[in-house]
Amino acid sequence: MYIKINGKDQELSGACTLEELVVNKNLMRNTIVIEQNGLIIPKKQWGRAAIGEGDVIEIIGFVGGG
Amino acid sequence: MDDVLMIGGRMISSRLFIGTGKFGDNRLIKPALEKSGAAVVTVALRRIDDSAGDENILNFIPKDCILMPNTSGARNAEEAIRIARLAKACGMGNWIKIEVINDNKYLLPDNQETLKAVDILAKEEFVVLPYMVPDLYAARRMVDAGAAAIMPLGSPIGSNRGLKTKELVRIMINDSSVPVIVDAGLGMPSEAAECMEMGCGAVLVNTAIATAKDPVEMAIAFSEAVRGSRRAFFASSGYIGETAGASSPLTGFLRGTN
Repeated sequence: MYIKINGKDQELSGACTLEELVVNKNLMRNTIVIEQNGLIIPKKQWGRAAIGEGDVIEIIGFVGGG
Repeated sequence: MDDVLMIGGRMISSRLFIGTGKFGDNRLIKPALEKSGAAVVTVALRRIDDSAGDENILNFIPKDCILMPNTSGARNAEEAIRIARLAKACGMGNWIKIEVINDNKYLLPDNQETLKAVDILAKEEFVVLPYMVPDLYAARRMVDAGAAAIMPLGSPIGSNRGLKTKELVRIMINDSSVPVIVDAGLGMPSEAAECMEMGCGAVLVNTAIATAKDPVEMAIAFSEAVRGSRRAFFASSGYIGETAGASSPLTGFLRGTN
């Protein structure tokens, strides 16, 4: 399955939820937000949010800034 | 002196807000914030490929600071609103600095697009602090639209050129019912003091601290300047004379007949 994460095309080998994606990428879940196809998906729904072919996913968090 | 800064219904313990960008070593951020006593801290939002590392910016910000994400990167109101909603969804509070910039040379904010974003986000219960070019009418409209404070620039971001917009900011201070916070361009504590002596509610400093030879010392210096000059704002008679006024008695001189 091909999806786009943070603007880059990526291939996922199997079925995956947003929760599994976060775990696989070793991301700190408390400090990030995920947008799937333009919608913000609340953290408590990540376990039920299946990733589909062609999905556009943005994983966003805080960085230093003024 | 019973002088409290209130923004968004909260008492803010320091009139020095600090930005977390451009630090050569992020490990200096925490001591700079703690030793200066800064209570409000800005961050940006960006795509994250690895947030679990030691370099996660939140690791360097004391837990009792108020986090104020900015909407940097936004070129119009729609993009700023999207960034603000993403920031709030991170679950670290509802403060937002609206920053809408289309000009890469001077990084001047777009007041028109900023106002549109203030209007929408204030209705979504954000505590909205718009970064703006000093303009009395734009400031009034932003406050009417729900801005909790207004943040006019002193000079372009990162320029260290100081308070070049002084007279327009002064007019805004005299007119505004919410705190006026000079944000951007302040290069030295004396320039922050200039803002505070005029009646600014607070100042926001990033580059001058982050890129100083000693960022922690500079943060302390800014903090001391802001506190001292806020006292001076209340204490000053404001007198500026055309000619001299002697400081020592004009009688009893040690010569001739008086």
